[in-house]
Amino acid sequence: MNRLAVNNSRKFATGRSGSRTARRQVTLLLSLIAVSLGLMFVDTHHISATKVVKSFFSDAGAPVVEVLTFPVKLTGQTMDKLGDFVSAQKKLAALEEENQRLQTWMQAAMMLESENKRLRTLANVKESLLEYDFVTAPILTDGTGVFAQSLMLSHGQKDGVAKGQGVISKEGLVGRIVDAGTETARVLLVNDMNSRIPVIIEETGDRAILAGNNGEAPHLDHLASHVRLTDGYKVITSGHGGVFPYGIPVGEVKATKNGEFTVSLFANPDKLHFVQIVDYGVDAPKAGRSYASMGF
Amino acid sequence: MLKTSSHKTSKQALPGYVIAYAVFLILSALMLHNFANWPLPGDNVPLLLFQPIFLVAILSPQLLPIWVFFVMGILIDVILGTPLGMTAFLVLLAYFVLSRMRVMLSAASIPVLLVLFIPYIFLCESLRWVMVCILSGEMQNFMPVMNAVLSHVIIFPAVFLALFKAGHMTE
Repeated sequence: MNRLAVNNSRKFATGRSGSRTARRQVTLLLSLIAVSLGLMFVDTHHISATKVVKSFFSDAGAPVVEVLTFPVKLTGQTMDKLGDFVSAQKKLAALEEENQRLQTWMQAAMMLESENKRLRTLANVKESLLEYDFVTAPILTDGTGVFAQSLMLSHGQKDGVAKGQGVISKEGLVGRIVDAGTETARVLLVNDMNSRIPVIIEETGDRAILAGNNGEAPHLDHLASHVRLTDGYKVITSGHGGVFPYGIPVGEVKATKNGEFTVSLFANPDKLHFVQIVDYGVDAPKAGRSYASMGF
Repeated sequence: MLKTSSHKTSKQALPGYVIAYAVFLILSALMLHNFANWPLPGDNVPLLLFQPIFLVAILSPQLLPIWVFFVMGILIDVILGTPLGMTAFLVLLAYFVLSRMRVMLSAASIPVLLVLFIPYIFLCESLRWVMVCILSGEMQNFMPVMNAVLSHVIIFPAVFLALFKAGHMTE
Protein backbone atom coordinates (compact mmCIF):
# COMPACT_ATOMS: atom_id res chain seq x y z
CA MET A 1 0.00 0.00 0.00
CA ASN A 2 2.64 2.50 1.09
CA ARG A 3 4.89 1.49 -1.75
CA LEU A 4 2.12 2.03 -4.25
CA ALA A 5 1.31 5.37 -2.74
CA VAL A 6 4.88 6.56 -2.66
CA ASN A 7 5.48 5.33 -6.20
CA ASN A 8 2.45 7.20 -7.41
CA SER A 9 3.32 10.40 -5.66
CA ARG A 10 6.87 10.15 -6.96
CA LYS A 11 5.63 9.57 -10.46
CA PHE A 12 3.40 12.52 -10.13
CA ALA A 13 5.60 14.95 -8.33
CA THR A 14 9.23 14.30 -9.25
CA GLY A 15 11.42 14.62 -12.29
CA ARG A 16 11.36 17.32 -14.94
CA SER A 17 8.63 15.73 -17.08
CA GLY A 18 6.79 14.84 -13.89
CA SER A 19 6.75 18.42 -12.66
CA ARG A 20 5.72 19.66 -16.10
CA THR A 21 2.86 17.19 -16.12
CA ALA A 22 1.93 18.14 -12.59
CA ARG A 23 1.81 21.80 -13.62
CA ARG A 24 -0.34 20.90 -16.59
CA GLN A 25 -2.66 18.92 -14.31
CA VAL A 26 -2.97 21.84 -11.90
CA THR A 27 -3.69 24.22 -14.78
CA LEU A 28 -6.36 21.88 -16.13
CA LEU A 29 -7.84 21.47 -12.67
CA LEU A 30 -7.98 25.21 -12.01
CA SER A 31 -9.44 25.82 -15.47
CA LEU A 32 -12.19 23.28 -14.88
CA ILE A 33 -12.92 24.81 -11.47
CA ALA A 34 -13.22 28.21 -13.15
CA VAL A 35 -15.52 26.76 -15.82
CA SER A 36 -17.70 25.18 -13.10
CA LEU A 37 -17.95 28.49 -11.28
CA GLY A 38 -18.83 30.23 -14.54
CA LEU A 39 -21.55 27.70 -15.32
CA MET A 40 -22.94 28.08 -11.80
CA PHE A 41 -23.05 31.86 -12.16
CA VAL A 42 -24.80 31.65 -15.53
CA ASP A 43 -27.31 29.08 -14.29
CA THR A 44 -28.21 30.84 -11.05
CA HIS A 45 -28.85 34.05 -12.98
CA HIS A 46 -31.51 32.30 -15.08
CA ILE A 47 -29.82 32.89 -18.40
CA SER A 48 -32.02 31.08 -20.90
CA ALA A 49 -29.17 29.41 -22.79
CA THR A 50 -28.49 27.12 -19.83
CA LYS A 51 -32.06 25.86 -19.92
CA VAL A 52 -31.56 24.73 -23.50
CA VAL A 53 -28.27 23.07 -22.58
CA LYS A 54 -29.82 21.36 -19.57
CA SER A 55 -32.79 20.10 -21.55
CA PHE A 56 -30.45 18.80 -24.22
CA PHE A 57 -28.28 16.93 -21.70
CA SER A 58 -31.35 15.60 -19.86
CA ASP A 59 -32.78 14.21 -23.07
CA ALA A 60 -29.45 12.85 -24.28
CA GLY A 61 -28.58 11.31 -20.94
CA ALA A 62 -31.98 9.74 -20.27
CA PRO A 63 -31.30 6.35 -21.92
CA VAL A 64 -27.89 6.11 -20.20
CA VAL A 65 -29.41 6.95 -16.84
CA GLU A 66 -32.16 4.40 -17.42
CA VAL A 67 -29.59 1.65 -18.03
CA LEU A 68 -27.39 2.84 -15.18
CA THR A 69 -30.13 2.94 -12.58
CA PHE A 70 -31.84 -0.27 -13.69
CA PRO A 71 -29.96 -2.61 -11.29
CA VAL A 72 -30.50 -0.23 -8.36
CA LYS A 73 -34.21 0.14 -9.17
CA LEU A 74 -34.58 -3.60 -9.60
CA THR A 75 -32.93 -4.24 -6.23
CA GLY A 76 -35.16 -1.66 -4.57
CA GLN A 77 -38.30 -3.11 -6.13
CA THR A 78 -37.28 -6.66 -5.15
CA MET A 79 -36.70 -5.51 -1.56
CA ASP A 80 -40.13 -3.84 -1.55
CA LYS A 81 -41.74 -7.01 -2.86
CA LEU A 82 -39.98 -9.10 -0.24
CA GLY A 83 -41.19 -6.70 2.43
CA ASP A 84 -44.73 -6.96 1.07
CA PHE A 85 -44.50 -10.73 1.08
CA VAL A 86 -43.39 -10.78 4.72
CA SER A 87 -46.22 -8.52 5.83
CA ALA A 88 -48.85 -10.04 3.50
CA GLN A 89 -50.99 -11.63 6.23
CA LYS A 90 -51.16 -8.44 8.24
CA LYS A 91 -51.98 -6.41 5.14
CA LEU A 92 -54.68 -8.84 4.07
CA ALA A 93 -56.49 -8.49 7.39
CA ALA A 94 -56.24 -4.70 7.18
CA LEU A 95 -57.50 -4.71 3.59
CA GLU A 96 -60.49 -6.89 4.45
CA GLU A 97 -61.42 -4.48 7.22
CA GLU A 98 -60.94 -1.52 4.89
CA ASN A 99 -62.99 -3.23 2.22
CA GLN A 100 -65.94 -3.61 4.59
CA ARG A 101 -65.73 0.06 5.42
CA LEU A 102 -65.43 1.08 1.77
CA GLN A 103 -68.46 -0.97 0.77
CA THR A 104 -70.55 1.23 3.02
CA TRP A 105 -68.89 4.34 1.67
CA MET A 106 -69.43 3.19 -1.90
CA GLN A 107 -73.17 3.14 -1.40
CA ALA A 108 -73.08 6.65 -0.02
CA ALA A 109 -70.73 7.78 -2.80
CA MET A 110 -73.01 6.45 -5.52
CA MET A 111 -75.94 8.36 -4.08
CA LEU A 112 -73.83 11.50 -3.79
CA GLU A 113 -72.47 11.12 -7.33
CA SER A 114 -75.94 10.94 -8.76
CA GLU A 115 -77.02 13.95 -6.72
CA ASN A 116 -73.82 15.77 -7.67
CA LYS A 117 -74.45 15.16 -11.37
CA ARG A 118 -77.94 16.59 -11.10
CA LEU A 119 -76.70 19.66 -9.25
CA ARG A 120 -73.82 20.19 -11.69
CA THR A 121 -76.21 20.09 -14.59
CA LEU A 122 -78.45 22.60 -12.84
CA ALA A 123 -75.54 24.89 -11.97
CA ASN A 124 -73.80 24.36 -15.32
CA VAL A 125 -70.51 23.41 -13.61
CA LYS A 126 -67.93 22.12 -16.09
CA GLU A 127 -65.37 19.52 -15.04
CA SER A 128 -64.47 17.23 -12.24
CA LEU A 129 -60.92 16.16 -11.51
CA LEU A 130 -61.49 12.95 -13.43
CA GLU A 131 -62.16 14.78 -16.66
CA TYR A 132 -58.71 16.33 -17.12
CA ASP A 133 -56.25 14.93 -19.66
CA PHE A 134 -53.44 13.02 -18.07
CA VAL A 135 -50.48 10.89 -19.04
CA THR A 136 -48.79 8.25 -16.89
CA ALA A 137 -45.01 8.54 -16.76
CA PRO A 138 -42.34 6.34 -15.18
CA ILE A 139 -39.86 7.97 -12.81
CA LEU A 140 -36.39 8.05 -14.33
CA THR A 141 -34.37 9.29 -11.38
CA ASP A 142 -35.39 9.79 -7.83
CA GLY A 143 -33.41 12.86 -6.92
CA THR A 144 -35.10 13.47 -3.62
CA GLY A 145 -32.35 13.96 -1.14
CA VAL A 146 -29.80 16.26 0.30
CA PHE A 147 -29.61 18.49 -2.75
CA ALA A 148 -32.64 17.91 -4.88
CA GLN A 149 -36.29 17.60 -4.03
CA SER A 150 -37.20 16.75 -7.55
CA LEU A 151 -37.99 13.81 -9.78
CA MET A 152 -37.00 13.27 -13.36
CA LEU A 153 -39.58 11.65 -15.62
CA SER A 154 -38.94 9.84 -18.88
CA HIS A 155 -41.76 11.73 -20.62
CA GLY A 156 -41.32 15.12 -22.21
CA GLN A 157 -42.82 17.56 -24.66
CA LYS A 158 -43.27 14.84 -27.28
CA ASP A 159 -45.73 13.19 -24.90
CA GLY A 160 -47.59 16.41 -24.27
CA VAL A 161 -45.82 17.31 -21.03
CA ALA A 162 -45.41 21.05 -20.45
CA LYS A 163 -44.17 23.36 -17.72
CA GLY A 164 -46.79 24.07 -15.09
CA GLN A 165 -48.70 20.80 -15.34
CA GLY A 166 -49.61 19.07 -12.11
CA VAL A 167 -48.15 15.74 -11.04
CA ILE A 168 -50.18 13.37 -8.92
CA SER A 169 -50.11 9.77 -7.82
CA LYS A 170 -53.00 7.61 -6.76
CA GLU A 171 -52.37 8.81 -3.19
CA GLY A 172 -52.42 12.54 -3.91
CA LEU A 173 -50.47 15.57 -5.07
CA VAL A 174 -46.79 15.00 -5.87
CA GLY A 175 -45.67 18.31 -7.40
CA ARG A 176 -45.60 20.20 -10.65
CA ILE A 177 -43.55 20.20 -13.83
CA VAL A 178 -40.86 22.89 -13.75
CA ASP A 179 -38.87 21.86 -16.82
CA ALA A 180 -39.90 19.91 -19.86
CA GLY A 181 -37.39 18.73 -22.45
CA THR A 182 -38.31 16.75 -25.54
CA GLU A 183 -37.84 13.37 -23.88
CA THR A 184 -37.71 14.15 -20.16
CA ALA A 185 -39.32 16.42 -17.60
CA ARG A 186 -38.48 17.56 -14.07
CA VAL A 187 -40.98 17.62 -11.23
CA LEU A 188 -40.63 20.05 -8.35
CA LEU A 189 -41.97 18.16 -5.34
CA VAL A 190 -44.42 19.77 -2.93
CA ASN A 191 -41.93 19.46 -0.08
CA ASP A 192 -39.23 21.38 -1.95
CA MET A 193 -38.45 24.63 -0.23
CA ASN A 194 -39.35 26.59 -3.36
CA SER A 195 -42.80 25.05 -3.48
CA ARG A 196 -45.77 27.13 -2.27
CA ILE A 197 -49.25 25.74 -2.83
CA PRO A 198 -52.52 27.33 -1.72
CA VAL A 199 -54.46 24.73 0.25
CA ILE A 200 -57.61 24.44 2.29
CA ILE A 201 -58.40 22.35 5.33
CA GLU A 202 -61.31 20.22 4.22
CA GLU A 203 -62.99 19.89 7.61
CA THR A 204 -62.84 23.55 8.64
CA GLY A 205 -62.52 25.40 5.34
CA ASP A 206 -59.49 27.35 6.63
CA ARG A 207 -57.09 28.51 3.98
CA ALA A 208 -53.28 28.28 4.15
CA ILE A 209 -50.17 28.05 2.06
CA LEU A 210 -48.39 24.73 2.01
CA ALA A 211 -44.72 25.70 2.18
CA GLY A 212 -42.06 23.13 1.37
CA ASN A 213 -39.09 22.91 3.70
CA ASN A 214 -37.14 20.06 2.09
CA GLY A 215 -38.21 17.84 4.94
CA GLU A 216 -40.73 15.03 4.80
CA ALA A 217 -43.56 17.21 6.12
CA PRO A 218 -44.05 20.70 4.65
CA HIS A 219 -45.63 23.26 6.96
CA LEU A 220 -48.77 25.35 6.76
CA ASP A 221 -48.07 29.07 6.43
CA HIS A 222 -50.42 32.05 6.66
CA LEU A 223 -53.00 30.27 8.76
CA ALA A 224 -55.23 32.71 10.63
CA SER A 225 -54.04 33.05 14.24
CA HIS A 226 -57.33 31.87 15.75
CA VAL A 227 -57.35 28.62 13.79
CA ARG A 228 -57.11 25.45 15.85
CA LEU A 229 -56.51 22.29 13.90
CA THR A 230 -56.53 18.68 14.94
CA ASP A 231 -54.20 15.94 13.78
CA GLY A 232 -55.65 14.04 10.85
CA TYR A 233 -57.59 16.88 9.23
CA LYS A 234 -57.40 16.50 5.47
CA VAL A 235 -55.54 19.08 3.38
CA ILE A 236 -56.58 19.62 -0.25
CA THR A 237 -55.63 22.16 -2.91
CA SER A 238 -57.75 25.30 -2.76
CA GLY A 239 -57.63 26.18 -6.44
CA HIS A 240 -56.25 29.65 -5.72
CA GLY A 241 -53.12 30.90 -7.44
CA GLY A 242 -54.05 29.30 -10.73
CA VAL A 243 -51.73 26.30 -10.63
CA PHE A 244 -53.90 23.48 -9.28
CA PRO A 245 -57.67 23.14 -9.33
CA TYR A 246 -59.70 22.74 -6.16
CA GLY A 247 -59.80 19.42 -4.38
CA ILE A 248 -56.61 17.48 -5.04
CA PRO A 249 -55.75 15.53 -1.86
CA VAL A 250 -52.43 16.63 -0.40
CA GLY A 251 -52.06 15.17 3.09
CA GLU A 252 -53.10 15.25 6.72
CA VAL A 253 -52.51 17.92 9.33
CA LYS A 254 -50.00 17.14 12.04
CA ALA A 255 -49.37 19.52 14.94
CA THR A 256 -45.79 20.10 16.04
CA LYS A 257 -44.55 20.69 19.57
CA ASN A 258 -43.98 24.41 18.96
CA GLY A 259 -47.58 24.99 17.96
CA GLU A 260 -47.07 25.00 14.21
CA PHE A 261 -48.79 22.68 11.79
CA THR A 262 -47.14 20.44 9.27
CA VAL A 263 -48.71 18.21 6.64
CA SER A 264 -48.00 14.53 6.42
CA LEU A 265 -48.14 14.01 2.66
CA PHE A 266 -50.25 11.24 1.16
CA ALA A 267 -47.82 10.68 -1.72
CA ASN A 268 -44.37 9.46 -0.77
CA PRO A 269 -41.98 10.05 -3.72
CA ASP A 270 -39.56 7.42 -2.39
CA LYS A 271 -42.14 4.72 -2.98
CA LEU A 272 -43.36 5.84 -6.38
CA HIS A 273 -42.47 4.20 -9.66
CA PHE A 274 -45.05 5.96 -11.85
CA VAL A 275 -46.88 9.28 -11.65
CA GLN A 276 -49.70 10.92 -13.54
CA ILE A 277 -49.04 14.23 -15.25
CA VAL A 278 -52.27 16.16 -15.44
CA ASP A 279 -52.98 19.07 -17.70
CA TYR A 280 -55.24 21.30 -15.63
CA GLY A 281 -55.17 23.91 -18.35
CA VAL A 282 -53.55 26.52 -16.16
CA ASP A 283 -50.58 28.73 -17.02
CA ALA A 284 -47.12 27.90 -15.77
CA PRO A 285 -45.94 30.25 -13.02
CA LYS A 286 -43.87 33.03 -14.58
CA ALA A 287 -41.42 33.47 -11.73
CA GLY A 288 -39.38 31.07 -9.69
CA ARG A 289 -36.39 28.86 -10.22
CA SER A 290 -36.46 26.10 -12.73
CA TYR A 291 -34.22 23.91 -10.63
CA ALA A 292 -35.04 22.17 -7.41
CA SER A 293 -33.97 23.75 -4.18
CA MET A 294 -31.01 21.40 -3.77
CA GLY A 295 -32.07 19.80 -0.70
CA PHE A 296 -31.66 20.19 2.99
CA MET B 1 3.05 11.61 -16.42
CA LEU B 2 0.45 11.72 -19.16
CA LYS B 3 2.70 9.63 -21.39
CA THR B 4 3.17 7.16 -18.56
CA SER B 5 -0.57 6.98 -18.00
CA SER B 6 -1.42 6.37 -21.61
CA HIS B 7 1.36 3.81 -21.82
CA LYS B 8 -0.25 1.98 -18.94
CA THR B 9 -3.57 1.69 -20.69
CA SER B 10 -2.31 -1.55 -22.17
CA LYS B 11 -4.03 -4.92 -22.25
CA GLN B 12 -2.24 -5.79 -19.05
CA ALA B 13 -3.42 -2.66 -17.25
CA LEU B 14 -6.96 -2.74 -18.62
CA PRO B 15 -8.69 -4.60 -15.75
CA GLY B 16 -7.62 -1.89 -13.31
CA TYR B 17 -9.28 0.79 -15.39
CA VAL B 18 -12.30 -1.40 -15.89
CA ILE B 19 -12.68 -1.80 -12.13
CA ALA B 20 -12.18 1.93 -11.59
CA TYR B 21 -14.84 2.89 -14.14
CA ALA B 22 -17.18 0.16 -12.89
CA VAL B 23 -16.91 1.51 -9.35
CA PHE B 24 -17.47 4.99 -10.68
CA LEU B 25 -20.59 3.94 -12.58
CA ILE B 26 -22.02 1.99 -9.64
CA LEU B 27 -21.55 5.02 -7.37
CA SER B 28 -23.25 7.24 -9.95
CA ALA B 29 -26.16 4.82 -10.28
CA LEU B 30 -26.60 4.74 -6.51
CA MET B 31 -26.63 8.52 -6.44
CA LEU B 32 -29.15 8.84 -9.22
CA HIS B 33 -31.56 6.60 -7.42
CA ASN B 34 -32.30 7.52 -3.85
CA PHE B 35 -30.70 4.45 -2.32
CA ALA B 36 -30.00 5.57 1.22
CA ASN B 37 -33.09 5.65 3.33
CA TRP B 38 -31.56 5.31 6.75
CA PRO B 39 -34.10 5.73 9.54
CA LEU B 40 -32.73 9.13 10.44
CA PRO B 41 -34.36 12.54 10.09
CA GLY B 42 -33.84 14.26 6.75
CA ASP B 43 -33.24 12.91 3.29
CA ASN B 44 -29.78 11.85 2.41
CA VAL B 45 -28.32 11.26 -0.98
CA PRO B 46 -24.60 11.71 -0.37
CA LEU B 47 -22.37 13.01 -3.13
CA LEU B 48 -20.59 9.71 -3.71
CA LEU B 49 -18.11 11.22 -6.15
CA PHE B 50 -16.20 12.46 -3.11
CA GLN B 51 -15.14 8.87 -2.43
CA PRO B 52 -13.25 7.97 -5.60
CA ILE B 53 -11.72 11.44 -5.54
CA PHE B 54 -10.22 10.78 -2.11
CA LEU B 55 -8.44 7.69 -3.39
CA VAL B 56 -7.65 8.80 -6.91
CA ALA B 57 -6.23 12.16 -5.87
CA ILE B 58 -4.06 10.67 -3.14
CA LEU B 59 -3.03 7.24 -4.36
CA SER B 60 -3.68 6.75 -8.05
CA PRO B 61 -3.95 9.98 -10.03
CA GLN B 62 -3.36 7.95 -13.19
CA LEU B 63 -6.50 5.88 -12.61
CA LEU B 64 -9.17 8.38 -13.65
CA PRO B 65 -8.52 11.64 -15.49
CA ILE B 66 -9.72 14.89 -13.93
CA TRP B 67 -12.13 15.66 -16.75
CA VAL B 68 -14.12 12.51 -15.90
CA PHE B 69 -15.00 14.07 -12.54
CA PHE B 70 -15.90 17.33 -14.23
CA VAL B 71 -18.18 15.64 -16.76
CA MET B 72 -19.82 13.48 -14.10
CA GLY B 73 -20.34 16.55 -11.91
CA ILE B 74 -22.08 18.37 -14.75
CA LEU B 75 -24.21 15.35 -15.61
CA ILE B 76 -25.26 14.90 -12.01
CA ASP B 77 -26.28 18.56 -11.84
CA VAL B 78 -28.34 18.17 -14.99
CA ILE B 79 -30.01 14.98 -13.86
CA LEU B 80 -30.65 15.92 -10.23
CA GLY B 81 -31.69 19.49 -11.00
CA THR B 82 -29.00 21.24 -8.97
CA PRO B 83 -27.42 24.43 -10.36
CA LEU B 84 -25.19 23.58 -13.31
CA GLY B 85 -21.55 23.44 -12.23
CA MET B 86 -22.13 23.13 -8.48
CA THR B 87 -21.26 19.43 -8.16
CA ALA B 88 -18.37 19.75 -10.61
CA PHE B 89 -17.02 22.69 -8.62
CA LEU B 90 -17.21 20.81 -5.32
CA VAL B 91 -15.57 17.62 -6.54
CA LEU B 92 -12.81 19.45 -8.37
CA LEU B 93 -12.13 21.63 -5.37
CA ALA B 94 -11.83 18.51 -3.22
CA TYR B 95 -9.48 17.01 -5.81
CA PHE B 96 -7.37 20.16 -5.86
CA VAL B 97 -7.00 20.31 -2.07
CA LEU B 98 -6.17 16.60 -1.84
CA SER B 99 -3.65 16.80 -4.65
CA ARG B 100 -1.86 19.61 -2.78
CA MET B 101 -1.56 17.26 0.20
CA ARG B 102 -0.71 14.17 -1.85
CA VAL B 103 2.91 13.77 -0.75
CA MET B 104 1.95 13.86 2.92
CA LEU B 105 -1.21 11.72 2.65
CA SER B 106 0.20 9.08 0.31
CA ALA B 107 2.66 8.05 3.01
CA ALA B 108 -0.18 7.15 5.36
CA SER B 109 -1.15 3.54 6.08
CA ILE B 110 -4.54 2.03 5.18
CA PRO B 111 -6.09 2.40 8.66
CA VAL B 112 -4.93 6.00 8.86
CA LEU B 113 -6.43 6.74 5.43
CA LEU B 114 -9.70 5.15 6.47
CA VAL B 115 -9.79 7.31 9.58
CA LEU B 116 -8.77 10.43 7.66
CA PHE B 117 -11.66 9.83 5.29
CA ILE B 118 -14.16 10.72 8.04
CA PRO B 119 -13.03 14.35 8.62
CA TYR B 120 -12.47 14.70 4.86
CA ILE B 121 -16.00 13.65 4.00
CA PHE B 122 -17.46 15.71 6.81
CA LEU B 123 -15.70 18.79 5.45
CA CYS B 124 -16.80 18.03 1.88
CA GLU B 125 -20.46 17.51 2.76
CA SER B 126 -20.37 20.56 5.02
CA LEU B 127 -18.97 22.62 2.17
CA ARG B 128 -21.81 21.36 0.02
CA TRP B 129 -24.23 22.46 2.74
CA VAL B 130 -22.61 25.91 2.85
CA MET B 131 -22.96 26.23 -0.93
CA VAL B 132 -26.61 25.32 -0.74
CA CYS B 133 -27.14 27.89 2.01
CA ILE B 134 -25.44 30.54 -0.11
CA LEU B 135 -27.26 29.67 -3.34
CA SER B 136 -30.66 29.34 -1.71
CA GLY B 137 -30.15 32.38 0.53
CA GLU B 138 -31.57 30.47 3.49
CA MET B 139 -30.09 28.63 6.45
CA GLN B 140 -30.65 24.92 5.84
CA ASN B 141 -31.08 21.95 8.14
CA PHE B 142 -27.67 20.46 8.97
CA MET B 143 -28.99 17.00 9.89
CA PRO B 144 -28.90 15.62 6.32
CA VAL B 145 -25.17 16.33 6.28
CA MET B 146 -24.72 13.89 9.15
CA ASN B 147 -26.86 11.32 7.32
CA ALA B 148 -24.78 11.77 4.20
CA VAL B 149 -21.55 11.34 6.18
CA LEU B 150 -22.94 8.14 7.71
CA SER B 151 -23.82 6.77 4.27
CA HIS B 152 -20.32 7.60 3.03
CA VAL B 153 -18.64 5.90 5.98
CA ILE B 154 -20.70 2.73 5.46
CA ILE B 155 -20.00 2.50 1.73
CA PHE B 156 -16.39 3.71 1.68
CA PRO B 157 -14.55 0.49 2.71
CA ALA B 158 -15.96 -1.33 -0.36
CA VAL B 159 -15.01 1.54 -2.66
CA PHE B 160 -11.59 1.72 -1.04
CA LEU B 161 -10.89 -1.98 -1.60
CA ALA B 162 -12.08 -1.91 -5.21
CA LEU B 163 -10.13 1.20 -6.18
CA PHE B 164 -7.07 0.11 -4.25
CA LYS B 165 -7.10 -3.15 -6.21
CA ALA B 166 -7.64 -1.22 -9.43
CA GLY B 167 -4.68 1.02 -8.52
CA HIS B 168 -2.49 -2.06 -8.06
CA MET B 169 -3.58 -3.52 -11.38
CA THR B 170 -2.62 -0.42 -13.27
CA GLU B 171 0.85 -0.46 -11.73
